[in-house]
Amino acid sequence: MGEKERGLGYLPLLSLRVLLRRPGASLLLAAVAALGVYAGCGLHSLEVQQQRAIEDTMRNTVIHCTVTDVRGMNADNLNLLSPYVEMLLGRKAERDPSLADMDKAVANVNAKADWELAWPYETTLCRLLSQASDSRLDSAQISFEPGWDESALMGGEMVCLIPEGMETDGDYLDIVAAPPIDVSMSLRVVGRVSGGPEDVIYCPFFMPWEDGLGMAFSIQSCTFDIRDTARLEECKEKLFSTPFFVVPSVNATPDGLAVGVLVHDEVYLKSLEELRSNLDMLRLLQPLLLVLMGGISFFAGYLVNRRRKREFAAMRCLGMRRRAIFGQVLGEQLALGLAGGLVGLCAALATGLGVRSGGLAFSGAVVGMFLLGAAVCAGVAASGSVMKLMKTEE
Amino acid sequence: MFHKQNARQPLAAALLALLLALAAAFSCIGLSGWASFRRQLAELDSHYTTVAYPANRSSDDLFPPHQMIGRYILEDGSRQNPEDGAILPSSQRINQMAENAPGVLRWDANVLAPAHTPNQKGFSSGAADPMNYIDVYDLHRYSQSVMAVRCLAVEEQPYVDGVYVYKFEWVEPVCRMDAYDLPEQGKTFRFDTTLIAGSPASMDEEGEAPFPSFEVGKTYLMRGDFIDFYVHLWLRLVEAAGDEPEHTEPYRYRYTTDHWAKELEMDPASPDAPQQGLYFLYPQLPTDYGNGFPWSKDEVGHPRPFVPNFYLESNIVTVGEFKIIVYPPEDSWPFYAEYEGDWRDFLNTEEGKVWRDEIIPNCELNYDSVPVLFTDNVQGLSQFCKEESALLEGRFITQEEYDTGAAVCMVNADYALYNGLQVGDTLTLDLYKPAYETQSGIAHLYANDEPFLYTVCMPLVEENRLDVTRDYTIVGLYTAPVWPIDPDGHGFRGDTVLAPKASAPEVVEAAEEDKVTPLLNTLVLKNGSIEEFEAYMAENGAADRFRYYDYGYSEMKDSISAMESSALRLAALGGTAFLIGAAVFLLASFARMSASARGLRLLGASPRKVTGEMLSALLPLTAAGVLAGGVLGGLLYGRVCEIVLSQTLTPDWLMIAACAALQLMVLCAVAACWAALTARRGLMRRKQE
Repeated sequence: MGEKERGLGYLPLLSLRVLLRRPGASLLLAAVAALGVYAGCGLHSLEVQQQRAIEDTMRNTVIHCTVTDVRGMNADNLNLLSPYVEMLLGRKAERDPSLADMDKAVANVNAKADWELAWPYETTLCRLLSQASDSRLDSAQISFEPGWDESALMGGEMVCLIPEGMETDGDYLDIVAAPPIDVSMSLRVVGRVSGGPEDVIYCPFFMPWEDGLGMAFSIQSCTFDIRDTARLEECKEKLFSTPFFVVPSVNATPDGLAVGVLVHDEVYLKSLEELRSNLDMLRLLQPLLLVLMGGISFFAGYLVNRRRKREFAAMRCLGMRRRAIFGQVLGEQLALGLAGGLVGLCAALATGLGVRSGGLAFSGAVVGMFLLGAAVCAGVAASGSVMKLMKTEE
Repeated sequence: MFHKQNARQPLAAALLALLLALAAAFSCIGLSGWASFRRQLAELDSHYTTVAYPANRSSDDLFPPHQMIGRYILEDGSRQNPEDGAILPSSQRINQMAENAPGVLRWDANVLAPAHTPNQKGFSSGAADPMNYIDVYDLHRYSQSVMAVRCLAVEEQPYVDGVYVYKFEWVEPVCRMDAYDLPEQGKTFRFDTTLIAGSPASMDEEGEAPFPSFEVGKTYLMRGDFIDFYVHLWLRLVEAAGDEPEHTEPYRYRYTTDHWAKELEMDPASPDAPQQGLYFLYPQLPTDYGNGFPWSKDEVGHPRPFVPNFYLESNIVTVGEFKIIVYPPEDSWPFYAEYEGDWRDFLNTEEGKVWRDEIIPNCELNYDSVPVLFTDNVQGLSQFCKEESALLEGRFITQEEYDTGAAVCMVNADYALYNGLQVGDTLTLDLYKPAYETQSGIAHLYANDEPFLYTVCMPLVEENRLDVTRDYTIVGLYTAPVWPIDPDGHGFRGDTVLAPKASAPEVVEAAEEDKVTPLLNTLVLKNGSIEEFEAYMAENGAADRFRYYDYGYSEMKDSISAMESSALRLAALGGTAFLIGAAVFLLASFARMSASARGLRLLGASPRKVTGEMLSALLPLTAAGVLAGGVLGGLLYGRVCEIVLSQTLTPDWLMIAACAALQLMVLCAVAACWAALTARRGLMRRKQE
């Protein structure tokens, strides 16, 4: 029976006995491996968590924009014509190709325009794009008739929302616009407003004065949001690629065409910068900690096995080949490393750290360093002179 | 002996020390990461300001409280709902309550003070666009004027005895801010608040009814606030032309008597006709009624300030019904003076001297002035929170500048353009005592009449001058609404200069001395504590009395808590790594020394001596390892961060030193115990094994 055949039988058993004979050292090495795996999973999980936090921030943060004059002023006194609102809604592509798909860059356009009504007496007709367009509706409740909802305000139908207590003749409300418009219309009542102003009738922003007759009108102020905060730069680029919207500058000269847009993204950008630098730091720490963890594993394996030089010498005297000794030591360390790694993995799962490929790769690298330490030691021990090794003091 | 062992096996000793150094470095990096995360969290937190403002001011609140005393207002100022008897706490009570609410960091109590700007012109509505800019903020300073007028008519009001209606025509403006044009429509103006007298002696023989103050046909110099015609905003139809479709556009007009007469076909003599021109007495100036008469207070219940030469005294007389006569104090500048011929000649007379040398120069002083809002937090001001104001150029005032009281300021871009100022320029402010009052107004915008509150500084007078002139560097330009019509009075106009409160301690002291009510107050809350604060206020019967702004902090909350948990985990990882590394170090070290220790004991050395020997060799190695680890960790972290990241993340060396010291102490303690146990180990034990 050759050495190879014998080795196959007794080496694992011998390894097991060695590990059991030195429970402290074995446990320690297993703990180092466990910690390495746990640290790997943990660091990777932190990175993933931070990445998600950034994504959440991008998703949840709303970037508001205010339309101003080209100098960044007069936000509440714009005299902005309603076609500009249509531009923001992406409805004016035929006027200028750069306005196409504008609705993919901006969202929640808020604009309203009031007009005095001659009838009902002492009431105002307020054109609005959404409930958020009028601060008077902040705490109001709107109950829509079946089949109608807030989207009706975005259309151009002859409909209206009236105050809760206002009486109508059936489903329709007759209104007469004050001069100089001076037209009569009948609007379908599609909802009632409670808790809001009692003298304001709301209608869709783009509702024509009469069937088929549209008219531009001026609005005092206009605000909107960036459609997708994650694509902030892209949305800004789209917005400012048109000749109609520009970044305001104090020294700009009004040309009668362009209006300024103040993008309120300073706080968001600063916060994002912090979060990103935080993520960068985590990514930086990962290799740094890998090196350190690997170093600890290496030295732990090396130092523990270094004490076994006499044992290795005795094994050589008993006829074991260097390769067999090397294999045995590596096997021991592998067993310890795998056991520790498994424990670390379980601990990571138990403590809610997501175990992902990145974390596993990092953990594998730690175990690899751990094995390398043991292998170097075993290699040194196995390659030395037996006589010299036998003289070695522990 | 153990020293010799180390010397004989330097590689092993070095490797052990290196192992410990790596473990210590690992924990130091973890700790630095944790500290850095904490710093970043604080930095992130500082980007956001969570503020609360008193809200839900109903239209009833706009009326002075005295009008409702005895009806719905209780003695402490709380209001009672007449229908269900429920009591709504007063603003003062709510403020007291709010101070004790959870999550409150501080009150940012701001101070508004006027300042003379020797090199810059004041930014009145006339300077901006008289037809397109809110004008009520001009009151008291920019609108101070002296006019030469001729009395056209004096009529007694038919319904109230002793009340006269005066009608004047302009002769010439003697002193008025350049920015204002002469009224285009109508050369006449009138006022009818005639329970006014030149002095208490201006009574009839019984001392009951006042004489009329003016006589028809005579000319007068009058001073007071020139109220330009109120601007109404309306819409009108514009025909299609060129590319422009038919559309409506805002149409602003001056609400004059002529407009009243022509456009609305109303009787210009009607008491309801719009009034315009000079308002020099009641109700524009504070009146000392004595005995805490409620009219002495402004619209939000704060005492109206009595500025020398700009307040009135009163006398109560009975004319049919209960009447009050108001008149200037004896030593006050006159409010009007009769003259004949050319008013220029009058100015050279003894009687005209006070007009020439004091009144007119004072008007001119007021024209070149600004209101300065001394604050601790510009971004906490409601107007900025609501994004009605925004930074346009430059930067905001930094926390350090607030803390140190740096002479920096932010000005409105319109004001800067008007005066040719830029970021980095210097604005010289000659400071005056804070004196202001809050008034109510109605903005006629489109089809709506919007009630609002606004605060104006009282006129600059020599008696209020603080003799403090300071150069402020402009660090930022901000935008401000043209119509700052906040119903709760938190708005300010674009002529306002914003500066750190600590930059003008004299103003703050003067405000404290004069018990000036702090203005535009902001309750600064801890980020993320709005719900807790509102719940507390609701429990105390003051639900929905505050408006909140957090600059989007609530949207960032999850990210911030993720960062917090990352920081903790990083610190925990570092600590655990150190424990494992230290355990390997100690195990390996004592494994090396145990045989020699046993030998020493066999040779007769006492356990104490052996322990001492072991520790004397181990402790320097430990100290070297920990020290090297700390330095290595700090350097690696700082250096690599600097190279890889664009920013420099300086390691917190103090924290690293503290951490290393703690590690060393723990290691020494464990090593001492381990050494003592090893030295006391039974000498026969090894043989038995």
